[in-house]
Amino acid sequence: MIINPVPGIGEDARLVIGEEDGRVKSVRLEAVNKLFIEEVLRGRALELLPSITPVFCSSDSWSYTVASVMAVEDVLGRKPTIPALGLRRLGLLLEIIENHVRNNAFKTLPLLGVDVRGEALRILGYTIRIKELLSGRSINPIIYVPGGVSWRPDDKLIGEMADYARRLLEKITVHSKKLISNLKNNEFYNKLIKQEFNPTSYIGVIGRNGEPGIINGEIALLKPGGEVVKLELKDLLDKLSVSSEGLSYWVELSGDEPVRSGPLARLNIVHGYPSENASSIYEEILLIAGGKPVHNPFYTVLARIAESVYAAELVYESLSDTDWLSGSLVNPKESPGKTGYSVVDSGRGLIIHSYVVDGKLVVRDLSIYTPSHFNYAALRRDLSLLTGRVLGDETVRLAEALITLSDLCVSELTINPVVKGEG
Amino acid sequence: MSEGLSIGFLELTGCSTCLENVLLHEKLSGILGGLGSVKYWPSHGYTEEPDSLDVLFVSGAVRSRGQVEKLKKLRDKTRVLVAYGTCSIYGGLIGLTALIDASSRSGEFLETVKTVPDIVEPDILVTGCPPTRDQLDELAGVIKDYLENGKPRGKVFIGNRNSLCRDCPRKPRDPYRFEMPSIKRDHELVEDDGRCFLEQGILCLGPVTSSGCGHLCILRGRPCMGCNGPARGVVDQGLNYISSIGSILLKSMERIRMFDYFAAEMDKLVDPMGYLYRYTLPKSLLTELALKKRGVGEK
Amino acid sequence: MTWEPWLIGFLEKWTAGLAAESAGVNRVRYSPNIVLINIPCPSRLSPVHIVKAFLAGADGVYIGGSMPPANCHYKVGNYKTFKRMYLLKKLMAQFGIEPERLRMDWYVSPMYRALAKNIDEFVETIKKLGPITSRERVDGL
Repeated sequence: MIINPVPGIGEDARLVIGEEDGRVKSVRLEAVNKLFIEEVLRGRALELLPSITPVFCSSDSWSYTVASVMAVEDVLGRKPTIPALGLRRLGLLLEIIENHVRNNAFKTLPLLGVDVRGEALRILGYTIRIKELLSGRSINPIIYVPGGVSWRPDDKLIGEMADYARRLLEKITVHSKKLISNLKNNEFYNKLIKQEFNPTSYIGVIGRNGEPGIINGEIALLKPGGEVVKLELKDLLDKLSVSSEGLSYWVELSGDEPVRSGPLARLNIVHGYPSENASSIYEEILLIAGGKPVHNPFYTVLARIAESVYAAELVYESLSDTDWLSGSLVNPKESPGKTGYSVVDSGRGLIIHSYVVDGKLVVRDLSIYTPSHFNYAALRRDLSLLTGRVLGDETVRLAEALITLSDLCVSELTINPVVKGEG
Repeated sequence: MSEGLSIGFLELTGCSTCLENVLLHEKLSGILGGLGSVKYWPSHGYTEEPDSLDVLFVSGAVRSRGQVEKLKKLRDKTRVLVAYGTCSIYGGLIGLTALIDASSRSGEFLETVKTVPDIVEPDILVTGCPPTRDQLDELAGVIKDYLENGKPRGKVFIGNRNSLCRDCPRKPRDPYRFEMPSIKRDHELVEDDGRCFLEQGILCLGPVTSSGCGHLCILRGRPCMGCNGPARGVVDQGLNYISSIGSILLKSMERIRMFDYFAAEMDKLVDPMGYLYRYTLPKSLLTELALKKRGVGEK
Repeated sequence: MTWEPWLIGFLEKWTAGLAAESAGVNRVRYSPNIVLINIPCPSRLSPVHIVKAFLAGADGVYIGGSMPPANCHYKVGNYKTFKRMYLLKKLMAQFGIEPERLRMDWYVSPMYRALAKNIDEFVETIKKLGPITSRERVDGL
């Protein structure tokens, strides 16, 4: 049995279910499209990468642009200015909201029989409006440059954005409360979150006080046993190993369980969300789950809700007090080197860029690890749990839901990472 | 009139995030009937292929044989086919892979990147990465007109097709002594003085790019990257651009310095392909030549 | 039949064009594989024209301008030509098309022997590079 298009991915992948006597024998998600874009990136001028790498996945384009800008910054040896850091954080928060709302409403929830697509579109309307005011276009932002930003919004625009942010926050708070009570009464969902899943490791960026770090914090690895390890980016790169099957690629930490990144991982890693509404949702999730770590991927739905509210609160907060926007835009002081690294914990999960350049600042080699690379390994194992079930509608729906929860992007899945941490 | 409309979204290779903006645009969404009219959108849970569609939005570039078939099949079922976004018309960022022969890895892939107009005849073309709010305003009017009064003559291009420089807010000091004093790379622009980017030595693709975007980047202190596709009269963005650059680069040094001097300055441009064809590589004459040289597309 | 290259040359009529005429008057032979066209100034050639010539089947494109560069009939035409063709060569290299297929030389009108020699050399270069399209042309001209 072959399913194509796959929900949440479209026609770039197919779900292959092997059958034996009416029962599932094997389940595989196979990438069928490949961008080959990594071959194009070699030989490009370094400064062009922030505008090209978002092509990996433009529903995450802001994260890719920021990750790329940060890696270019690292190569050039520039330090970003304070307005730049603030605007980057703002953009990424907006994208986290978008990502979570989009994935829940359009990809996962329809499979559970919950239709909130109309409301989700209205929420996306607000985030996209703010993004448009910020960067002119809602996809592939242009204002981020190595060492700073090219432009800052004036007070009138900030006022307009803050107004949208306020409405966004109101809308999303109501929406998530309704959605959570809706899910609590959803029998299918309740059945799903009680299922047993294999423990995995979790990775994410965590801030100083245990909040989600996004671009500012340390990489934390949570082992299945509950042990937390803080990692340097270069150490992490050394530990990653790449495997492939056909056009699908994934990474694993050498000698470890599959490692998940993204909303579920952050739910397990963070100590809480330091904002009002989000922390109450967080408490509620812990109550349902009965403690952390949560290994059931279906909790991703709830994690996304909590995080989108958290992000909306931060967006409103940072737009209502914009002292951070003053000061110089770009910091041109630089001392170019040969390599550059960056990590961004986006809505989807961990994005790692590492570039190697030559004397003329032309990219000679690069590797880009995407959330899909991490989550695909965990998904493979989750899907294998379906083996032996009766092949019916419900099993297929379950498999599809698991895929949407891992939030894969097949164009990402097919990048072949090459460079390791050394150098 | 929006009652009973059936609309579809087809995502070919590309990010296709821009398709969501169609439903987020109040006027356009109102004409189309909003989410209720969506009958086909595989990645968003509407996977069943309908028998007929009133409006189909196609985004992304064509990379595989399956996509070619799909596109042809849906064209036959559709009244108004909108090629939406730069990827679908010029290849966009995906188009950068046009010179990679993917067919050698898997027979399913085409030998190069094709665009929607290469395969079927679109009725309306909307450029932009993503198309802007103003372009969608115009698109809403065109679609309304189309649905009410039938097919207009010829293809309809949404957005202003003049060169971006024509009504650019950044003016050169003296158009008759217009000179590009050096070639600077993108990251070397640290002190923007608000003058024309070319006068500051920055490669801005404004002269060859159509102005449908409304100067988004230029208003925010960034040079044009050419995402809106070639302006009217531009055959090939990159080639026409180097023709313009040839006229203005170090103009005051002509007849004074030797060729080596100019060559040294031009060597600073390390990656002309990346700079000049970021969004339109599949439509470049040089790509056509390179593919012909390789024997692609010959029977 | 063996493959013979087919080339097109654009000569500035005030100098290189005159040199080509002198070559004829003085019975200096040069390769028949090239078609020469006199134009007032090579700076009018857009890179689009050059690439279209390649697309139409030219295996090489030759441009003859005036020497010294500052001696251009239109003052600065040589400089514009040089800048355009230099950038075009850089682009061609990135696209996997040998930049050697495009050649520029500079002449004063008495240099007809040099013109003939350069053209012969260029034809040899192109012969080594082979045809620009994979298809074998039966007869070049």
